[in-house]
Amino acid sequence: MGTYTRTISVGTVIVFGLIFALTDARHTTWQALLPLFEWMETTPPGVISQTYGAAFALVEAAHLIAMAVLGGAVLVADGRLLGLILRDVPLSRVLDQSHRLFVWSLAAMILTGVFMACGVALKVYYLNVFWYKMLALGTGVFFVFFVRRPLLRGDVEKVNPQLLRLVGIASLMIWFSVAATGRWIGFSG
Amino acid sequence: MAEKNPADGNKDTALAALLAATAVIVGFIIYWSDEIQAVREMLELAYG
Amino acid sequence: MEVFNQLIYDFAVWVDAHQWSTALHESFYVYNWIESTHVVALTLSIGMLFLIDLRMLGLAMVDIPASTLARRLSLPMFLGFTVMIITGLLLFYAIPVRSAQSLWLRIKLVLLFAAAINAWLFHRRMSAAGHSWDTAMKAPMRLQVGASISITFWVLIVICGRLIAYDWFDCRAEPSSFIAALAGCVAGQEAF
Repeated sequence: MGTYTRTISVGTVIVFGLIFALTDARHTTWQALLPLFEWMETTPPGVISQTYGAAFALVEAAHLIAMAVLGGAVLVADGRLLGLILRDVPLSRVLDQSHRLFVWSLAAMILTGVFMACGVALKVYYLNVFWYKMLALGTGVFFVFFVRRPLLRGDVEKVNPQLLRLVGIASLMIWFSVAATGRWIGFSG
Repeated sequence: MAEKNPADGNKDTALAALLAATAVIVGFIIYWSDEIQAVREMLELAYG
Repeated sequence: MEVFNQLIYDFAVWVDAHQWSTALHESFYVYNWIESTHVVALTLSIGMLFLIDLRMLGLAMVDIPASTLARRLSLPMFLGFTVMIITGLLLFYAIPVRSAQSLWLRIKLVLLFAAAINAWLFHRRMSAAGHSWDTAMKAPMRLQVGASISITFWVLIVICGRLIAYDWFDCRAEPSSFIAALAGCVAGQEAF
């Protein structure tokens, strides 16, 4: 039993996720978060966003540029896992190099993302699509650092190639969802 | 008492990845098919 | 300049009269999905381009030979740029008059032209430089300069693209005569 800690943890997260989604816990948590979002609008990033439209627009652009880099890193790594690109470069090399870029761009995205969320905190609070994005993002971060990276960090050549493909597809699905729901925040409300 | 066996560790990460990836793929299909269905219903309401 | 702006305006008004242009503009889902595709395809187009540029500067993917990376990533990059051009033209087609008179779109097009020239020069220099530096951490200085210029241009292009959505300098906001001339506002035009 003790050797299957990671699998059990992933199972627990899935079960808790389902309980959260299917019970009243979702609604209670959402209500409890209202003060946080009200406070966010009063923070310096919130005030700056609301006062200077140009500052908000520039942060939006920075968010997009970071997204291009993050997406590039994801596409290269997952494309390599699926055997679509860079087939002549060792798998572990592509994965290690793109992971480093991924971490940096993720940090930039979260920084700019939090800034933007402060500016429109009460708008996004009432948008379903914002919460879907946060869910997808949370899933993505958990998937990358708790599942994907531990699997690919070691002797990746020994991992079942079908499993690598499955992980690549799941990763692409997550980050596509994060980007698409993110863009949709701007169209809603 | 189970000895720490590196092969077991690899099996654990592989199994965890299989479980997580499957859950993600199922979740993705449910979410996006639900979105598409909702849009279709809305368009049907609007245009008949 | 005025004649030129009048011509562009007349063209945009003509496009605007198309039934499909109006339909696209008024379709919430189709328009927004084209917009989303335009944004998400940034990961392919600029994403691949930045990986190549950052490799030249020794900031990313340093373990992978530079010319291999540049060659292998150019196909997905061009795929991405094709999607960008198609969706970009569709976005223009949906809202022709306001876009044609957007100061930001005009700056963006100039920058795109400059970035294309830079890319062409970069490619020539890379071919001329051979493979001697392939496994080095950084590319030769001339290529590093090209990569830095490329990153700068594309960052500015993304900023301008994002700013098109803002109406600060729209003709209907009656900007100063200098801005109005740059944006292509035409005297006595109808509001769109």
